[in-house]
Amino acid sequence: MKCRILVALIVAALCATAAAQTPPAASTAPAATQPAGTPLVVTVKEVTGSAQRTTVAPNAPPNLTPTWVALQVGDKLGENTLIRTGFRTRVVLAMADNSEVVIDRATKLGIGQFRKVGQVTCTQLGMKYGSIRASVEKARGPNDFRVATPVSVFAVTGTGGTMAYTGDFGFALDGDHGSWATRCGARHRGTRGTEDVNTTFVRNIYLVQAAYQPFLGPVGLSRSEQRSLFFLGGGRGIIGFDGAGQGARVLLRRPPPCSGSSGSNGIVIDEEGMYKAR
Amino acid sequence: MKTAFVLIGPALCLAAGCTAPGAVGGGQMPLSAANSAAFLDELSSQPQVTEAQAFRGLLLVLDNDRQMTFAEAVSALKQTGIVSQSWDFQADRPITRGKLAYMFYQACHMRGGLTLTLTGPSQRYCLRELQYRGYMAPGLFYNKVTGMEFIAVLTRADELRQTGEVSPVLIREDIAL
Repeated sequence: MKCRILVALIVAALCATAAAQTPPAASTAPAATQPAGTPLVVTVKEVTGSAQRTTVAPNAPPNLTPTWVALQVGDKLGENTLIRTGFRTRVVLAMADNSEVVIDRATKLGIGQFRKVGQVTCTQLGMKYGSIRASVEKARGPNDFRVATPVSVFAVTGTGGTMAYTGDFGFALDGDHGSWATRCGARHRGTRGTEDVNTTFVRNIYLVQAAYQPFLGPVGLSRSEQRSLFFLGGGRGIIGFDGAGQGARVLLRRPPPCSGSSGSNGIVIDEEGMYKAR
Repeated sequence: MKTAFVLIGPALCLAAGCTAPGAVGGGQMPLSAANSAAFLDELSSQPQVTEAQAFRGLLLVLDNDRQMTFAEAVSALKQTGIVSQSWDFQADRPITRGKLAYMFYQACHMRGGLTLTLTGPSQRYCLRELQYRGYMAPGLFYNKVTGMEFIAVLTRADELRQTGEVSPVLIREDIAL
């Protein structure tokens, strides 16, 4: 009797395992919905070194081997395009909204979405490894520009900066100007100006110092001037505590006037905690 | 008694996988013919990187994309001093972090601290130097290297060779060793 029960249990367990491993029938899979809006075009402006591209349809089978072709200047790229670069390579992409993305060496990047939805230009790039530099234009209307890495999402508006994902150190963002929002799971951090952030999400003393740069108008300080001030600038300051810095004592410089500061206007936070341009 | 030790020593060494310095195993294996973009993409999904793949990657960083066998690659890297004359080589054996650090250090003509200056490059101290500079993640010199980590390290080597510095977004200077 015990033996029969045991056999019945084993058979039931095997059936349950087999049922769990059976892939769902293709006919029952939900059809991929076409996102709203008008697709835009990305033009390849410059190619140096070894770069390739391929296009993968959203409903392509996962074991499909894509055909890669060499990337040429003047190529028009749409959504679902993958680009990979090798050593000593640089690719400049001109987006239809005047934004520019520079793909650095040893990078694999996908254009997940690039379309105009109403007044907003929606751009979603995915980066498996490597680094890119983005300069996002908002003069032609509001932008929702996002770059996803395996562990985080960068959202940007009217902004420039360099972002990277490497297999050992994770993600890193080095801002140039404007505001960035970095999100990793439930954690997120907003940065602006020349602030940077990496996998640790730590807001350290350097980040606090970089937040207090004098604002000289729309043209402002060059990056080298900002760096020079950051490392060499002196002057009077106040001793305080950085609330997010685990209570560590830091030296805060006198904050600049906020009016007209880059990234201080036209930004709202959506329901997911990401920054968006108005 | 002495004869027994003489025989047992090499037998134990062979059993442990040791080979004579400079020996090349799998020398006729052809290296990947893919260009650097395809080669990196292929590596990015691999849990380990073999010595043959690592040498191919280093040669691509050195701008040598000639089709060659593993033995020819070893010879080319030995001539330029990028691999040590005292190593033994096996095409399908996983590369270690120490060997990768040694090759990075030599390929980028780096200059280290006191120990490296006095004793010359070694796997252990090259790795420590690279970790100190934020070019490699913490870990021991005999650990194996994943594909993604290998790509990250080679990217830094390529940029360092080309521009003399590594972009701040690719390094981490705040890691406690």
